[in-house]
Amino acid sequence: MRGAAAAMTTSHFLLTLFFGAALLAWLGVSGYVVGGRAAHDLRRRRLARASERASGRGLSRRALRRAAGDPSLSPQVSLAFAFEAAATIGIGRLSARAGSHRTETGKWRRIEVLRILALVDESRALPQLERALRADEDVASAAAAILGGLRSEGCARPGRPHRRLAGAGLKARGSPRLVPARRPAGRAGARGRLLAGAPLLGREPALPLRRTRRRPAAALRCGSRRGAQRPRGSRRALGARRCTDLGAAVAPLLADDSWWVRAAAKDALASLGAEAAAVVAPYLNSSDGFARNGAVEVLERIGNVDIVLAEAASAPYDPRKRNAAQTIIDSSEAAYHAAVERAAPELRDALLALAEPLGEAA
Amino acid sequence: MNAVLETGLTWVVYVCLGYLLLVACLYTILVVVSALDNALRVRQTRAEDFRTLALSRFTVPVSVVVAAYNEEALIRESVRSLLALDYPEHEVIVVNDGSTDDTLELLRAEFDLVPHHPYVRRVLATEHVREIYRSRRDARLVVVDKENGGKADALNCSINFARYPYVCGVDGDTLLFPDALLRAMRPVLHDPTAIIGVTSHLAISSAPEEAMTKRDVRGDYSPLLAFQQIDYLRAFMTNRLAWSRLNFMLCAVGAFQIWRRDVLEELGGFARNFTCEDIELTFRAHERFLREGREYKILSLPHTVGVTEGPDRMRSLIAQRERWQRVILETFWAYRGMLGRPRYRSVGLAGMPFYLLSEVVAPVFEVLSVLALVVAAATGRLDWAAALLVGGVVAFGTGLLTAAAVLISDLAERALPKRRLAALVLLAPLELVLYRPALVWARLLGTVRFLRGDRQWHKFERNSRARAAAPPEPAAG
Repeated sequence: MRGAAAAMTTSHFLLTLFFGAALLAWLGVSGYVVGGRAAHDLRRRRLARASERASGRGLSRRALRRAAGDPSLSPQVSLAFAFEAAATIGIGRLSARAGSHRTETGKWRRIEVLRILALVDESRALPQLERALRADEDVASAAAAILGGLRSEGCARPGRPHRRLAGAGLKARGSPRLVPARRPAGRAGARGRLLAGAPLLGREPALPLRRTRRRPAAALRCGSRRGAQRPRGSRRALGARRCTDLGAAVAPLLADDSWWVRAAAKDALASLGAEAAAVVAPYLNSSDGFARNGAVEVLERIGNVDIVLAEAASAPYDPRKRNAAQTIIDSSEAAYHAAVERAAPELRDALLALAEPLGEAA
Repeated sequence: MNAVLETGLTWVVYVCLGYLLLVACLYTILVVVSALDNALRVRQTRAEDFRTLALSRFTVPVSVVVAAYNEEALIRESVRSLLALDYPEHEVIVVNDGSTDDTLELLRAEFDLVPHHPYVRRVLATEHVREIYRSRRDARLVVVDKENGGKADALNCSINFARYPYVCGVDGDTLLFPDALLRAMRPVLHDPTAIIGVTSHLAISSAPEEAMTKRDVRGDYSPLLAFQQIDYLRAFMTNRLAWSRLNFMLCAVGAFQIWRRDVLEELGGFARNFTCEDIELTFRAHERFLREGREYKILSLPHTVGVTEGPDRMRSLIAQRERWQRVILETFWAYRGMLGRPRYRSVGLAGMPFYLLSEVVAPVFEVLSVLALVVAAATGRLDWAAALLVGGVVAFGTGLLTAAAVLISDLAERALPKRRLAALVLLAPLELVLYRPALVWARLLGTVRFLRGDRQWHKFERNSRARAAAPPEPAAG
């Protein structure tokens, strides 16, 4: 009886212990759920207020970094936050973080930082973005997308806020001033000097076009982002910020193994506009099927199918031009027929002849 | 006799407690894996530029298919929500599976349907198709009217009409949020060769059309719906996320399931000889791909992609859960050969044993423990203090699991307001007394009907809702 009583006591004690543990754990997690959410709501309200006035003052460094790298925010707000994040965290530190990652968490932070860097300092961002193109598929596709969004005055997209204006706005509000790595070039003028973080208008000489055009052919041989070589010469070769240069960096990804990276590269090239056509056109003759189809899709998207077909029609015996046209016809008959429809009447017969074997066309 | 009874009761108690402990350990592991998976997905989602993705011409187009049988209550709202999806390229195919109500008439009037005669690939055999319609308001909408053949048959029919490489099956009583497809297809776009199936979390409401208008995923304030919401959160946030991460996603829910079309065709479409089609197809996909040693992934995501109707009456709830239990048993029995076989990797070695413990034999232990409690109380052998303590441990243990599910869901989306979160976590420990008995009964009923070979759908009665029709909005596009 005594033993039974002792056993009962032990089991009751153990059960009480379990009960207490379960109750405390439930209370703890429930408290964390509600308390964590309250804290999040507070942060969200702060962020909303900061977004309204387009100033990150009052936000923590981490919140500022996250907000600046958040692609869902409006471009104006992102830009303002990016400058403040750069001023708070420091361009050098951002640049270092954008260079590599070790962990899965670090990977997404790296993407955030690449976005911020691209907004505030293209000259520093471009080498890092170029390096990111050779990283894993998430980083590579994000880098391609960021590169696709980059613009210089030469190929500005309507609706994109001008960095100088944003910089001026920041300065007017007395935000911490970024010390640019390089002073704006003389051509930026008086307005340009207002820019905090002006190095995107850096003085690096433009990449010689000859070198740019040679690059895709080299990358074609490699056929993957790992094989995409950095252009020879300056480490800041992309700092020249010409669309063709940006395109040349992204174009090798058309032959990437990953569908996602290829799609990101196509989107990026298409968003670069007509100037990307020169970079993409050589890929019509690539031995890689993904690259060929990708090139056709990009050209179709930016409306350059017509030009490639017209060039082939004017020189039917040029094998490169002929192959390029053939690739378009094979990949997308709809695009080909649409181009024929759009073409001038006197050109239509020549264009239709492209679909026939060379002997008959001749 | 007394000694035999006491020994028997003692053994039952020990076996049930052992089972409880084992299941609790398994759920703890799943919660940890789910939390890690969710943390990664949250970061991925935060870094994703959905605006660019929504405009991209290089996304994979999707055929959204709906099998509708007597869905007049919600079909117009459902189709409207599907046409309003923010996705670069998709089509909507509604198959009217011989409805006896006004489903087809409502669609015809709402979307201005006209007969249409497209070329149809008859990949899968289905019941006779009476007529095919296309909407004059939105060319992306195709409605197929066919003889009644069941949900699986209607879905197979829709596959015959689907033009795009991925097929998204949606229930007629489910309404999707505009960004549903974009969020669900994001991982597919990353790796379309490997990902063959995707499912995602759905909110539950007694009136999804009202929840949709405000993008309100709070759910109803009736306790029955709140408990169902808790159930859904646990099923998706602590089970499916972990299953998905551990490569044994066992059930892509019928209310929202995306499959690669070539896989559906290769597998022979949805099975007509099972009570429910979704779980069986998931098992079949696992079986085929693992047997052939092919790489594949079936994913479950934490994003709330829409709102589905939940029963607002206990009777309807029991009918629904009885059917779910029956289909689990049917499927498990049909694929029992995978259990414990290394050839079927994590599905055979972890997923099937987990299902066996948590779903197949659970009613046995639940009934056994209730019987033991009743017998012990009736014969004066019940130690009330110990029984209450065990009850408390189970109640707060369930509450802890629910709180973890709510936390994961909140970290994933921050969709529910603070008060609702508090209500859910406070309600959770009461589940054992207020909600669980109904589920135990439904599971027991399901097990009995399975053993009797019942294959009927036993569709639950629709929730009562004011049919005073609001003026229909024009379809998107």
